[in-house]
Amino acid sequence: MGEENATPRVLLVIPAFNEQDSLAATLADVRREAGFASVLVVDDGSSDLTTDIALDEGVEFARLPFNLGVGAAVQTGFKYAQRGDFDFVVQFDADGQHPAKFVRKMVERIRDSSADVVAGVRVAGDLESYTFTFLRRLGSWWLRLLIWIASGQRFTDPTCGLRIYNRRAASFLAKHYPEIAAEPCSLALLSNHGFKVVELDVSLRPRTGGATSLTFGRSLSYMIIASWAIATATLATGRRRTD
Amino acid sequence: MPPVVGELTSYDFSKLASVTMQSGQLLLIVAALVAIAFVVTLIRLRMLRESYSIVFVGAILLFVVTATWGFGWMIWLTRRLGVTYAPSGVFTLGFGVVAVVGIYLGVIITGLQSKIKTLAQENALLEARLRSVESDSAGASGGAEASAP
Repeated sequence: MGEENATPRVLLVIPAFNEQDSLAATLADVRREAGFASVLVVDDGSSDLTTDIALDEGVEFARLPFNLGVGAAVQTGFKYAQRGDFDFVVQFDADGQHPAKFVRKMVERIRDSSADVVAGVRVAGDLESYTFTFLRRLGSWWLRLLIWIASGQRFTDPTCGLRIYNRRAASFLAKHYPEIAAEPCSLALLSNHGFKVVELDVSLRPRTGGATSLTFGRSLSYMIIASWAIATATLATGRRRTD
Repeated sequence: MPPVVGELTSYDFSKLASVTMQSGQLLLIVAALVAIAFVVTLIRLRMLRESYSIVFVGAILLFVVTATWGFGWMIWLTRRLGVTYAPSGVFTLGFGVVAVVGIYLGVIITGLQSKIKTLAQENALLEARLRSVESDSAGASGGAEASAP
Protein backbone atom coordinates (compact mmCIF):
# COMPACT_ATOMS: atom_id res chain seq x y z
CA MET A 1 0.00 0.00 0.00
CA GLY A 2 1.50 3.28 -1.03
CA GLU A 3 1.75 6.43 1.04
CA GLU A 4 -0.32 8.30 -1.50
CA ASN A 5 -3.24 5.95 -0.83
CA ALA A 6 -6.27 7.53 0.84
CA THR A 7 -6.13 5.17 3.83
CA PRO A 8 -2.53 4.72 4.83
CA ARG A 9 -1.62 1.98 7.28
CA VAL A 10 -0.53 3.65 10.49
CA LEU A 11 1.10 1.89 13.43
CA LEU A 12 1.23 3.44 16.88
CA VAL A 13 4.23 2.16 18.78
CA ILE A 14 3.78 2.56 22.53
CA PRO A 15 6.88 1.65 24.54
CA ALA A 16 5.85 0.82 28.10
CA PHE A 17 7.88 0.07 31.17
CA ASN A 18 5.86 -0.45 34.35
CA GLU A 19 2.94 1.63 33.08
CA GLN A 20 0.08 -0.32 34.63
CA ASP A 21 -1.42 2.85 36.11
CA SER A 22 -1.67 4.78 32.86
CA LEU A 23 -1.70 2.30 29.98
CA ALA A 24 -5.44 1.54 30.01
CA ALA A 25 -6.36 5.24 29.89
CA THR A 26 -3.79 5.85 27.14
CA LEU A 27 -5.19 3.02 25.05
CA ALA A 28 -8.75 4.27 25.61
CA ASP A 29 -7.69 7.72 24.36
CA VAL A 30 -6.00 6.16 21.34
CA ARG A 31 -9.09 4.09 20.51
CA ARG A 32 -11.27 7.18 20.80
CA GLU A 33 -9.11 9.64 18.86
CA ALA A 34 -7.00 7.45 16.58
CA GLY A 35 -9.05 4.34 16.00
CA PHE A 36 -7.86 4.19 12.40
CA ALA A 37 -4.36 3.22 13.54
CA SER A 38 -3.03 -0.19 14.55
CA VAL A 39 -1.42 -0.29 17.99
CA LEU A 40 1.64 -2.12 19.21
CA VAL A 41 2.52 -1.93 22.89
CA VAL A 42 6.16 -2.86 23.47
CA ASP A 43 6.50 -4.02 27.05
CA ASP A 44 10.09 -3.22 27.95
CA GLY A 45 10.52 -5.95 30.55
CA SER A 46 7.95 -4.59 32.99
CA SER A 47 7.61 -6.21 36.39
CA ASP A 48 4.03 -4.99 36.90
CA LEU A 49 0.77 -5.74 35.07
CA THR A 50 1.57 -3.78 31.90
CA THR A 51 1.42 -6.87 29.67
CA ASP A 52 -1.81 -8.09 31.27
CA ILE A 53 -3.44 -4.73 30.64
CA ALA A 54 -2.35 -4.80 26.99
CA LEU A 55 -3.78 -8.31 26.74
CA ASP A 56 -7.05 -7.29 28.39
CA GLU A 57 -7.36 -4.28 26.11
CA GLY A 58 -7.00 -6.56 23.11
CA VAL A 59 -4.10 -4.70 21.50
CA GLU A 60 -1.10 -6.25 19.88
CA PHE A 61 1.92 -6.34 22.16
CA ALA A 62 5.53 -7.46 22.04
CA ARG A 63 7.08 -8.38 25.34
CA LEU A 64 10.83 -7.90 25.68
CA PRO A 65 12.20 -10.54 28.07
CA PHE A 66 14.10 -7.93 30.06
CA ASN A 67 14.45 -4.17 30.27
CA LEU A 68 16.44 -2.87 27.30
CA GLY A 69 15.60 0.81 27.53
CA VAL A 70 13.16 2.95 25.61
CA GLY A 71 15.41 3.16 22.55
CA ALA A 72 15.43 -0.60 22.02
CA ALA A 73 11.70 -0.78 22.75
CA VAL A 74 10.88 1.80 20.08
CA GLN A 75 13.26 0.10 17.67
CA THR A 76 11.31 -3.13 18.21
CA GLY A 77 8.26 -1.23 17.01
CA PHE A 78 10.08 -0.07 13.88
CA LYS A 79 11.04 -3.66 13.12
CA TYR A 80 7.43 -4.74 13.59
CA ALA A 81 6.27 -1.97 11.26
CA GLN A 82 8.82 -2.98 8.64
CA ARG A 83 7.51 -6.56 8.61
CA GLY A 84 3.90 -5.48 8.75
CA ASP A 85 4.32 -3.16 5.75
CA PHE A 86 3.02 -0.05 7.50
CA ASP A 87 3.12 3.33 5.76
CA PHE A 88 3.63 5.43 8.88
CA VAL A 89 4.86 4.76 12.38
CA VAL A 90 3.83 6.97 15.30
CA GLN A 91 5.96 6.98 18.43
CA PHE A 92 3.63 7.51 21.37
CA ASP A 93 4.23 7.57 25.13
CA ALA A 94 2.35 5.17 27.42
CA ASP A 95 2.18 7.57 30.36
CA GLY A 96 -0.78 9.48 28.98
CA GLN A 97 1.07 12.75 28.35
CA HIS A 98 0.53 12.59 24.59
CA PRO A 99 -3.05 13.38 23.58
CA ALA A 100 -4.10 10.96 20.84
CA LYS A 101 -5.99 13.74 19.04
CA PHE A 102 -2.65 14.80 17.53
CA VAL A 103 -2.10 11.50 15.75
CA ARG A 104 -4.50 12.38 12.95
CA LYS A 105 -2.93 15.85 12.63
CA MET A 106 0.51 14.28 12.42
CA VAL A 107 -0.59 11.86 9.71
CA GLU A 108 -2.07 14.72 7.72
CA ARG A 109 1.06 16.83 8.21
CA ILE A 110 3.48 14.13 7.08
CA ARG A 111 1.37 13.41 4.00
CA ASP A 112 0.96 17.06 3.08
CA SER A 113 4.51 18.20 3.75
CA SER A 114 6.41 15.41 1.95
CA ALA A 115 8.50 15.15 5.08
CA ASP A 116 10.06 11.93 6.29
CA VAL A 117 9.48 12.76 9.94
CA VAL A 118 7.12 15.05 11.84
CA ALA A 119 8.40 15.81 15.32
CA GLY A 120 6.11 17.13 18.03
CA VAL A 121 6.98 20.43 19.66
CA ARG A 122 5.69 20.87 23.18
CA VAL A 123 7.14 24.24 23.99
CA ALA A 124 5.39 25.93 21.08
CA GLY A 125 2.04 24.27 21.71
CA ASP A 126 -0.73 25.28 24.04
CA LEU A 127 0.46 23.71 27.24
CA GLU A 128 -2.21 22.04 29.30
CA SER A 129 -1.24 22.19 32.95
CA TYR A 130 2.38 21.54 32.13
CA THR A 131 5.35 23.65 33.05
CA PHE A 132 8.95 23.42 32.00
CA THR A 133 11.40 24.14 34.78
CA PHE A 134 14.39 26.37 34.22
CA LEU A 135 16.74 23.40 34.26
CA ARG A 136 14.61 21.60 31.73
CA ARG A 137 14.67 24.60 29.43
CA LEU A 138 18.43 24.89 29.89
CA GLY A 139 18.87 21.21 29.07
CA SER A 140 16.69 21.52 25.99
CA TRP A 141 18.67 24.57 24.82
CA TRP A 142 21.95 22.68 25.24
CA LEU A 143 20.68 19.67 23.27
CA ARG A 144 19.35 21.95 20.52
CA LEU A 145 22.76 23.58 20.30
CA LEU A 146 24.53 20.22 20.07
CA ILE A 147 22.17 18.92 17.40
CA TRP A 148 22.64 22.12 15.44
CA ILE A 149 26.42 21.69 15.61
CA ALA A 150 26.21 17.99 14.73
CA SER A 151 23.68 18.24 11.92
CA GLY A 152 23.30 21.87 10.93
CA GLN A 153 19.55 21.66 11.64
CA ARG A 154 17.64 23.62 14.23
CA PHE A 155 14.96 21.85 16.24
CA THR A 156 12.64 23.35 18.82
CA ASP A 157 11.98 20.41 21.12
CA PRO A 158 14.53 17.62 20.71
CA THR A 159 13.28 15.47 23.59
CA CYS A 160 9.62 15.27 22.62
CA GLY A 161 8.69 11.61 22.14
CA LEU A 162 5.62 12.24 19.98
CA ARG A 163 6.68 11.75 16.36
CA ILE A 164 5.57 10.20 13.13
CA TYR A 165 7.90 8.57 10.61
CA ASN A 166 7.29 7.49 7.05
CA ARG A 167 8.26 4.07 5.78
CA ARG A 168 11.74 5.11 4.70
CA ALA A 169 12.66 6.79 7.97
CA ALA A 170 11.16 3.91 9.96
CA SER A 171 13.21 1.37 8.00
CA PHE A 172 16.34 3.41 8.60
CA LEU A 173 15.64 3.61 12.32
CA ALA A 174 14.83 -0.10 12.50
CA LYS A 175 18.55 -0.53 11.87
CA HIS A 176 20.04 2.55 13.47
CA TYR A 177 17.75 3.78 16.24
CA PRO A 178 19.99 5.05 19.07
CA GLU A 179 19.88 3.15 22.34
CA ILE A 180 20.62 6.08 24.63
CA ALA A 181 19.19 9.58 24.52
CA ALA A 182 17.15 8.25 21.63
CA GLU A 183 14.96 11.28 20.89
CA PRO A 184 17.66 13.95 20.45
CA CYS A 185 20.16 11.52 18.92
CA SER A 186 17.68 10.26 16.34
CA LEU A 187 17.03 13.85 15.19
CA ALA A 188 20.75 14.38 14.62
CA LEU A 189 21.02 11.04 12.84
CA LEU A 190 18.03 11.61 10.59
CA SER A 191 19.19 15.09 9.64
CA ASN A 192 22.70 13.89 8.87
CA HIS A 193 21.31 11.19 6.62
CA GLY A 194 19.23 13.54 4.56
CA PHE A 195 15.79 12.88 6.00
CA LYS A 196 13.43 15.82 6.02
CA VAL A 197 12.16 16.57 9.51
CA VAL A 198 9.38 19.10 10.10
CA GLU A 199 7.79 20.12 13.35
CA LEU A 200 4.22 20.29 14.61
CA ASP A 201 2.93 22.02 17.71
CA VAL A 202 1.43 19.63 20.20
CA SER A 203 0.17 20.01 23.73
CA LEU A 204 1.14 17.89 26.67
CA ARG A 205 -0.86 16.55 29.57
CA PRO A 206 0.35 15.66 33.03
CA ARG A 207 1.02 11.98 33.64
CA THR A 208 -2.13 9.97 34.27
CA GLY A 209 -0.27 7.45 36.41
CA GLY A 210 3.11 6.24 37.58
CA ALA A 211 5.95 8.59 38.39
CA THR A 212 8.63 10.25 36.31
CA SER A 213 12.04 8.68 36.66
CA LEU A 214 13.78 12.01 36.04
CA THR A 215 15.42 13.18 39.27
CA PHE A 216 18.03 15.95 39.21
CA GLY A 217 20.86 13.40 39.28
CA ARG A 218 19.35 11.35 36.47
CA SER A 219 18.67 14.46 34.43
CA LEU A 220 22.29 15.55 34.80
CA SER A 221 23.49 12.07 33.91
CA TYR A 222 21.11 12.06 30.91
CA MET A 223 22.51 15.38 29.71
CA ILE A 224 26.11 14.16 29.87
CA ILE A 225 25.30 10.90 28.11
CA ALA A 226 23.08 12.64 25.57
CA SER A 227 25.80 15.18 24.77
CA TRP A 228 28.34 12.45 24.16
CA ALA A 229 25.83 10.34 22.22
CA ILE A 230 24.90 13.22 19.90
CA ALA A 231 28.57 14.00 19.32
CA THR A 232 29.29 10.39 18.37
CA ALA A 233 25.97 9.51 16.72
CA THR A 234 27.17 10.80 13.39
CA LEU A 235 30.34 8.75 13.57
CA ALA A 236 28.47 5.54 14.39
CA THR A 237 26.64 5.36 11.06
CA GLY A 238 28.52 7.85 8.92
CA ARG A 239 27.29 11.19 7.65
CA ARG A 240 25.95 9.96 4.32
CA ARG A 241 22.60 8.40 3.78
CA THR A 242 22.89 4.62 4.10
CA ASP A 243 19.41 3.42 3.23
CA MET B 1 81.90 18.58 47.78
CA PRO B 2 79.46 18.65 44.87
CA PRO B 3 81.37 16.24 42.49
CA VAL B 4 81.56 13.56 45.21
CA VAL B 5 77.88 13.84 45.95
CA GLY B 6 77.19 13.52 42.23
CA GLU B 7 79.30 10.37 41.95
CA LEU B 8 77.72 8.80 45.04
CA THR B 9 74.23 9.51 43.71
CA SER B 10 75.10 7.93 40.37
CA TYR B 11 76.69 4.91 42.05
CA ASP B 12 73.74 4.42 44.44
CA PHE B 13 71.22 4.62 41.63
CA SER B 14 72.99 1.95 39.51
CA LYS B 15 73.32 -0.35 42.48
CA LEU B 16 69.68 0.13 43.40
CA ALA B 17 68.61 -0.49 39.80
CA SER B 18 70.66 -3.67 39.66
CA VAL B 19 69.13 -5.05 42.84
CA THR B 20 65.61 -4.06 41.71
CA MET B 21 66.20 -5.72 38.36
CA GLN B 22 67.04 -9.08 39.87
CA SER B 23 64.24 -9.21 42.43
CA GLY B 24 61.78 -7.56 40.05
CA GLN B 25 62.62 -10.06 37.30
CA LEU B 26 62.02 -13.01 39.56
CA LEU B 27 58.80 -11.62 40.95
CA LEU B 28 57.45 -10.80 37.48
CA ILE B 29 58.30 -14.25 36.11
CA VAL B 30 56.63 -16.02 39.05
CA ALA B 31 53.59 -13.77 38.81
CA ALA B 32 53.43 -14.36 35.05
CA LEU B 33 53.53 -18.12 35.49
CA VAL B 34 50.76 -17.98 38.11
CA ALA B 35 48.67 -15.72 35.84
CA ILE B 36 49.14 -18.01 32.83
CA ALA B 37 48.18 -21.03 34.96
CA PHE B 38 45.07 -19.14 36.11
CA VAL B 39 44.09 -18.26 32.54
CA VAL B 40 44.65 -21.85 31.34
CA THR B 41 42.52 -23.12 34.24
CA LEU B 42 39.71 -20.74 33.30
CA ILE B 43 39.89 -21.97 29.70
CA ARG B 44 39.81 -25.61 30.84
CA LEU B 45 36.76 -24.90 33.00
CA ARG B 46 35.05 -23.21 30.02
CA MET B 47 34.85 -19.97 31.98
CA LEU B 48 37.01 -18.08 29.47
CA ARG B 49 37.08 -18.47 25.71
CA GLU B 50 40.40 -19.02 23.99
CA SER B 51 39.92 -16.01 21.75
CA TYR B 52 39.38 -13.69 24.71
CA SER B 53 42.33 -15.11 26.63
CA ILE B 54 44.82 -14.28 23.89
CA VAL B 55 45.03 -10.65 24.92
CA PHE B 56 45.70 -11.61 28.56
CA VAL B 57 48.38 -14.15 27.64
CA GLY B 58 49.91 -11.62 25.27
CA ALA B 59 50.05 -9.01 28.02
CA ILE B 60 51.63 -11.49 30.44
CA LEU B 61 54.25 -12.55 27.91
CA LEU B 62 55.06 -8.90 27.22
CA PHE B 63 55.81 -8.45 30.90
CA VAL B 64 57.94 -11.59 31.02
CA VAL B 65 59.95 -10.54 27.97
CA THR B 66 60.41 -7.07 29.42
CA ALA B 67 61.45 -8.47 32.78
CA THR B 68 63.84 -11.05 31.38
CA TRP B 69 65.51 -9.37 28.44
CA GLY B 70 64.07 -5.93 28.21
CA PHE B 71 65.16 -4.29 31.45
CA GLY B 72 68.21 -2.76 29.82
CA TRP B 73 66.24 -0.96 27.15
CA MET B 74 63.52 -0.17 29.65
CA ILE B 75 66.07 1.67 31.83
CA TRP B 76 67.47 3.35 28.74
CA LEU B 77 63.99 4.38 27.60
CA THR B 78 62.81 5.61 31.00
CA ARG B 79 65.98 7.71 31.44
CA ARG B 80 65.46 9.24 28.02
CA LEU B 81 61.88 10.03 29.03
CA GLY B 82 63.11 11.69 32.19
CA VAL B 83 61.90 8.92 34.52
CA THR B 84 64.57 8.48 37.20
CA TYR B 85 63.15 5.28 38.66
CA ALA B 86 63.10 2.49 36.06
CA PRO B 87 60.24 0.40 37.53
CA SER B 88 58.01 3.43 36.99
CA GLY B 89 58.46 2.72 33.30
CA VAL B 90 57.19 -0.80 33.87
CA PHE B 91 54.14 0.58 35.69
CA THR B 92 53.53 2.94 32.78
CA LEU B 93 53.73 0.01 30.40
CA GLY B 94 51.38 -1.91 32.70
CA PHE B 95 48.89 0.95 32.67
CA GLY B 96 48.99 0.97 28.88
CA VAL B 97 48.38 -2.77 28.73
CA VAL B 98 45.44 -2.49 31.17
CA ALA B 99 43.98 0.29 29.05
CA VAL B 100 44.26 -1.84 25.90
CA VAL B 101 42.69 -4.81 27.69
CA GLY B 102 39.87 -2.58 28.97
CA ILE B 103 39.11 -1.26 25.48
CA TYR B 104 39.30 -4.80 24.06
CA LEU B 105 36.78 -6.02 26.63
CA GLY B 106 34.59 -2.98 25.95
CA VAL B 107 34.49 -3.91 22.26
CA ILE B 108 33.56 -7.50 23.12
CA ILE B 109 30.82 -6.41 25.54
CA THR B 110 29.40 -3.94 23.02
CA GLY B 111 29.17 -6.69 20.41
CA LEU B 112 27.54 -9.09 22.84
CA GLN B 113 25.09 -6.43 24.05
CA SER B 114 24.07 -5.69 20.48
CA LYS B 115 23.49 -9.39 19.78
CA ILE B 116 21.51 -9.83 23.00
CA LYS B 117 19.34 -6.82 22.14
CA THR B 118 18.63 -8.19 18.67
CA LEU B 119 17.83 -11.63 20.11
CA ALA B 120 15.47 -10.15 22.70
CA GLN B 121 13.70 -8.05 20.03
CA GLU B 122 13.38 -11.00 17.67
CA ASN B 123 12.04 -13.13 20.54
CA ALA B 124 9.42 -10.50 21.36
CA LEU B 125 8.38 -10.12 17.72
CA LEU B 126 8.18 -13.88 17.17
CA GLU B 127 6.12 -14.28 20.32
CA ALA B 128 3.74 -11.58 19.09
CA ARG B 129 3.54 -13.26 15.70
CA LEU B 130 2.87 -16.64 17.30
CA ARG B 131 0.13 -15.16 19.45
CA SER B 132 -1.46 -13.61 16.39
CA VAL B 133 -1.31 -16.87 14.40
CA GLU B 134 -2.73 -18.86 17.33
CA SER B 135 -5.50 -16.33 17.75
CA ASP B 136 -6.36 -16.50 14.02
CA SER B 137 -6.22 -20.27 14.13
CA ALA B 138 -8.47 -20.46 17.19
CA GLY B 139 -10.91 -18.06 15.55
CA ALA B 140 -10.98 -20.12 12.35
CA SER B 141 -11.51 -23.42 14.15
CA GLY B 142 -14.14 -21.85 16.40
CA GLY B 143 -15.94 -20.55 13.32
CA ALA B 144 -15.79 -23.97 11.66
CA GLU B 145 -17.20 -25.67 14.77
CA ALA B 146 -19.98 -23.13 15.00
CA SER B 147 -21.00 -23.67 11.38
CA ALA B 148 -20.78 -27.45 11.64
CA PRO B 149 -24.12 -29.23 11.73
